[in-house]
Amino acid sequence: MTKVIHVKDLKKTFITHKRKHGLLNAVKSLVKREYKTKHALRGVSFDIEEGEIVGFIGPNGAGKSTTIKALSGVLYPSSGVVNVLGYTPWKDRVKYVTHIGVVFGQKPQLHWDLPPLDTYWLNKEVYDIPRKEFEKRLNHMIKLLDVEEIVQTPTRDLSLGERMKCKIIAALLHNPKLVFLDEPSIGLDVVAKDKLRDFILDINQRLKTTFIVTTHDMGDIERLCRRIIIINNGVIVYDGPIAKIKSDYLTHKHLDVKFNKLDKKFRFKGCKIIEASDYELKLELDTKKQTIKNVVNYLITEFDVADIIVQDPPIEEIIQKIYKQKEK
Amino acid sequence: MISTIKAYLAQAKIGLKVGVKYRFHFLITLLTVPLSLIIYYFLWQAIYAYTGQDIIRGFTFPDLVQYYVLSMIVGFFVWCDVDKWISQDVRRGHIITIFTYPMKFLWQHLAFEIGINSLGIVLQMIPIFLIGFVFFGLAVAPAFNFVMFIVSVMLAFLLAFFISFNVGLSAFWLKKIEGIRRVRRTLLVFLSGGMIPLSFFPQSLQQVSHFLPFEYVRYVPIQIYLGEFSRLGVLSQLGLQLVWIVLLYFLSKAVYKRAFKQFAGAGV
Repeated sequence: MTKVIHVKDLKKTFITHKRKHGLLNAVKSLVKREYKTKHALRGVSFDIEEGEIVGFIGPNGAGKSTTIKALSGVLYPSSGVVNVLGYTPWKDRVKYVTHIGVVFGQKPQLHWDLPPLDTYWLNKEVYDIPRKEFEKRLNHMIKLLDVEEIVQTPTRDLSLGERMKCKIIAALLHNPKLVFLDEPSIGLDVVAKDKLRDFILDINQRLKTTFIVTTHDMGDIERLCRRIIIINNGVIVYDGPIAKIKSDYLTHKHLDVKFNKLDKKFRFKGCKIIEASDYELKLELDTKKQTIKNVVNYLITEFDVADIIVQDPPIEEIIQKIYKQKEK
Repeated sequence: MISTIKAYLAQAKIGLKVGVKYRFHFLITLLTVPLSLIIYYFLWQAIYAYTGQDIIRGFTFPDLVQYYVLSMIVGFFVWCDVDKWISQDVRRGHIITIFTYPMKFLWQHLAFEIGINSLGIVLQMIPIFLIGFVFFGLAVAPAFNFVMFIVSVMLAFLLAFFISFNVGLSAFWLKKIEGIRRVRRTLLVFLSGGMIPLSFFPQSLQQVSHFLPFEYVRYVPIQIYLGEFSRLGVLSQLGLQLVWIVLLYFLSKAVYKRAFKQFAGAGV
């Protein structure tokens, strides 16, 4: 197995000036600025092998995107070693980025006024892809993602999800060895999400492309990744197989149940009430003791249910549990 | 090397396609040309009648009308909004997607602007020439002057690009650069002789302006067309344009380097 990414003791400290609110403070800050340092990364190390799909998760401000930025060559770290495909990413930017693909879920990467197809043809020249290869790959991807019409429509007329699919094609046309996907399932409906996940798995298996995926969608992580890295407060709190996280920490589901009328007391084995009001119950279900099916059955037969939402606990909760266990 | 050139040509083609999308904008702005020319025409007609002179600051009235026609042509051709695009990208945070794309920042923007402006040749330059010839007594320049005028206008475009590009880069520090852009536009119109020919300026201001790049963006190409320079004079003016381009190119590169450092260090 060849190593694609080697990161050792990566640190990044930002110096920003404090901005207090209010007019007086705004004027004060013109004369005297108070600076504060923010440690975005406090020594992060990991290695990633060719062909892996690694989920990169953590709450907002944890250091996820700082790490991704350092890996994609647009951030100078304060210290530490990064080696990606034999390059130090922030040196020789133009040469380095020809070997990677980057998709930012929240940012436009296609020419706004033109159909995605125009961007693809530009990429053909920019990445110097042979014409035959280019057409073969493009047709294949268009078929897999079912976007034949969409790629001929100006980007500004596309929906968020349609744009997402087109962006992913743009990032993969040059067969990069390594791809960063930042929030790839934003704006996609359930069917489209499934299609996209299959698509990524297909590319990964056929071409041994390495993927790093940051997401808030646990569904993405479960379907795509065998390994996840959880980052919090600038340090890695977990790096290992997803299966372990699932069995150790994803043991509970959250149920949010709304009732037309709640006239009975709710009691069920393996189910804990976190919050209750006249028309709503928030439940925590221990999946080791009870199945979702049984609870839902019970709810529907015994109560006048209006709505049920089943969710994984938020990532923050998992991180707390990991910390607690470490303390023990 | 060839593949690099092909890449930037493809980028210019994207600029051209975006231009074609906005052809309506090009055509509408064209409508302002006869209007402005008519205003200048009557304004100066009144001034010449009032002073009772045939020549003011080296210009006869018909010469001055020609000057304004040429000023419009050059003005449209050197129009460059790259500072707007850069500052928008910085403020909205899109700039990161440009940095993860394998093109050199400066050349990527230059190629795009060349593409979009090349449409202006067809949709603006040629029509204004025709309007000038037919309605405003624009004389057909001798072949040498005409060819040199075209060369000079192209160099003027590069100059305008680099000025605008540097202004755009300031967005990496300042974020909002509307004020500086306004200053840039005003200087570029005023000190390039866009409002009145530079020979109407006070001596001292004319002297200062020789040491600034702005007159090479508009005044110099116009004077070349009007035959105000000897052949040798034309070549030396083109040489001066080139010197400015080289200077501003290296300035752009140096500023860009710092801008990227600012971005990658602070992670805007």
